[in-house]
Amino acid sequence: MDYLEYYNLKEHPFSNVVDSRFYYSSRQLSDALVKLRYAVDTRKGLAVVIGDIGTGKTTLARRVLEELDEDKYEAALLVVVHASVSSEWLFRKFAIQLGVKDLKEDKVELLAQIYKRLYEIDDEGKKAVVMIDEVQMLNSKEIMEEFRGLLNMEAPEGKMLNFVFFGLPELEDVLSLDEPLKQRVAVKIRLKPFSEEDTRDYIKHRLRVAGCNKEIFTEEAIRRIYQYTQGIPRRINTVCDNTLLEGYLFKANLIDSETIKTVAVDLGLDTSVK
Amino acid sequence: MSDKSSIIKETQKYLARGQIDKAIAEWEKMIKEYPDGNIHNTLGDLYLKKGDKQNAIDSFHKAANFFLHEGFSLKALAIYKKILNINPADSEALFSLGELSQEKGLTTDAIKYYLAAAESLSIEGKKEKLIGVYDRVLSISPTNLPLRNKVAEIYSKEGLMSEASRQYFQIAMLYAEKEDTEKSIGYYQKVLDAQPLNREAILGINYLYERTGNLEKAIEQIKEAINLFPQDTDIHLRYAELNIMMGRLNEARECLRKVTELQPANTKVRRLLGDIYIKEGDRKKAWTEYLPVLDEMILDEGYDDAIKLLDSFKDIDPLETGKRLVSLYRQLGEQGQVANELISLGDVLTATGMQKEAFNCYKEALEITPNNESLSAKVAELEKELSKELGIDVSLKLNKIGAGITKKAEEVKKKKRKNRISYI
Repeated sequence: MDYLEYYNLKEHPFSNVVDSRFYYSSRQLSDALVKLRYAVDTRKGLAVVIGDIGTGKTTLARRVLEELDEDKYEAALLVVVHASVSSEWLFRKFAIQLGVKDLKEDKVELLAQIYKRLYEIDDEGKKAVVMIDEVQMLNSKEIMEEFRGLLNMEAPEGKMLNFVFFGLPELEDVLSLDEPLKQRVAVKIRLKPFSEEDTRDYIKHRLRVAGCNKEIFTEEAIRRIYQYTQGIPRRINTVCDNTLLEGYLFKANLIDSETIKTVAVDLGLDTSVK
Repeated sequence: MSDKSSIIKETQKYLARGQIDKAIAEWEKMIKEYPDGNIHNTLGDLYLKKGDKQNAIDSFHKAANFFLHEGFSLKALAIYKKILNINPADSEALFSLGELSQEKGLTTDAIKYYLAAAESLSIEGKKEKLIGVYDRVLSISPTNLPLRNKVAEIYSKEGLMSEASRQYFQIAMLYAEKEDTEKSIGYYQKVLDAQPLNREAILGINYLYERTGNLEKAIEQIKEAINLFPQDTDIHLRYAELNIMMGRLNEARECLRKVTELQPANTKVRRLLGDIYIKEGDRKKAWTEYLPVLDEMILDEGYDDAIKLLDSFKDIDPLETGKRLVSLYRQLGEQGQVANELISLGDVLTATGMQKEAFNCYKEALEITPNNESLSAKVAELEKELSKELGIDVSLKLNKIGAGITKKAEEVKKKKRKNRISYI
């Protein structure tokens, strides 16, 4: 028996793995979605989403990808996992994701293939969208210049390729490596942590999706969670997941603020206790 | 480290013998080792007994700070009242009592204490602190006009003219909100008497002239403002706006040209140019000018205004307005409106011969409103037409219409989505 059974849950409600079923549509995220969809629909070219660690950038990126109907958008999400990406490698990935066949080795030829494919996508009445997560890792002037080059491809209706960059606040510095690219940012969204009210709704929402309809956390406990996590979704998940385990171990039907404090101390979020 | 209980015993002994100085010395010794609100309080009492008011007040302040820090606000409140018994004009105690009363929601008491604190600070000549206290007073009751006026007058008396003007400006705005134009103009004028180059006050009065229908006076005033601020795009834009209202479209264009020289990408210029074209009856050109304005509205989350604007230009560009309306309503979660707009968009696309695209719109609308019979008939008809034209059975490809998305289709979609994610 683990805490799932004890709290009558069908699955783990606070996993940090992105799962669209658990998506919580806060006012901030729904506004961000409207703006990003608008940027893409009106072919604005470059949109940027900036947020601190754990504020929901990846969740938002996946959500946007899900919302872009495959019949109308040729969309891809690239996740940067290491910093030593070359522009050639990046182009090849773009090309593959956009559906270019028989990739050429030569960069210029590859660019021509991408350009041709973008025309095809346009002819199909679709919009090409490339989202890139963790762009701050691409800390290279050359790559930023290449992005600018791709953004120069235009059709009468607007940009042929729409980029949406997601990244940490350092992304601002990376964009500054190429000032003209920075000036091309048409939409900039800053993700902030949740408010206390959002934190409460978020916790309840995830518990509901996981099959729980009763209150597990006291109001005071939720307030404490907000204090310790400062409304950062990833931290909320970690604290709540650990708290449920703690609650199960101590057979607590209702989790109070003291349990939260214990977990926060264990996780190093409460520094008042040494 | 000395033993706490032995020090207490010692002090009690001294006190019994009436040796207050020695008792104080013992407590002072103890407080260094055991800093605590109660000890500071006792120390304050001892100083007071000795007749040393200043040290008594200092000790009470220290005690109150301790209690505040530990969350014992009632104890702190009692200590501050003790201070006021010694010195009714102690600005620090008065201010803290104001804060404590504010925290407890006792607004009238809070204002009373803050005003008393301000008076003390004024006597002490601490003008910077004084501003902070008045800001606090006004934050409790921001729309209290007599209070704000009183504060403004005090600032004026203290020679703090920019602070006084700031308050007069707020009062003018509050009267404008209440639609008391005359009083509002009067207060803007007070601002201008003190600061003739206050552009916000100039613009404030200007809008009030417009509100009272005195456009000539508004134009005259803004012309003078242009001389004062030749590089100020807001003033030029206001002049343009007024000219448009008066129907002087050429003058308005000239103003906008100047703004464009100063600031090439000013969206308000585009909006006003749009307004000019509307006045001239050229709605097509107006729509082109309004497009960037529309973008700005949506990015500023002014969705209602954006929808209103899009609705008003449906006849000019039904395709673009339709697409944008669908996108907006979809994101706002207004499914009924999404369906309506999709149907309208489908009609437009059908009329322009874009049958396949129209079919997709109708199909999506039908997914939202599966019981719409006329739409269902429309879809069936188009389906037949397209099947014939394309030589394939479109219905097979699109058999999920009205029946919802099957689990299998959902799984395929999910798999496809996964393929759209790549790690680099």
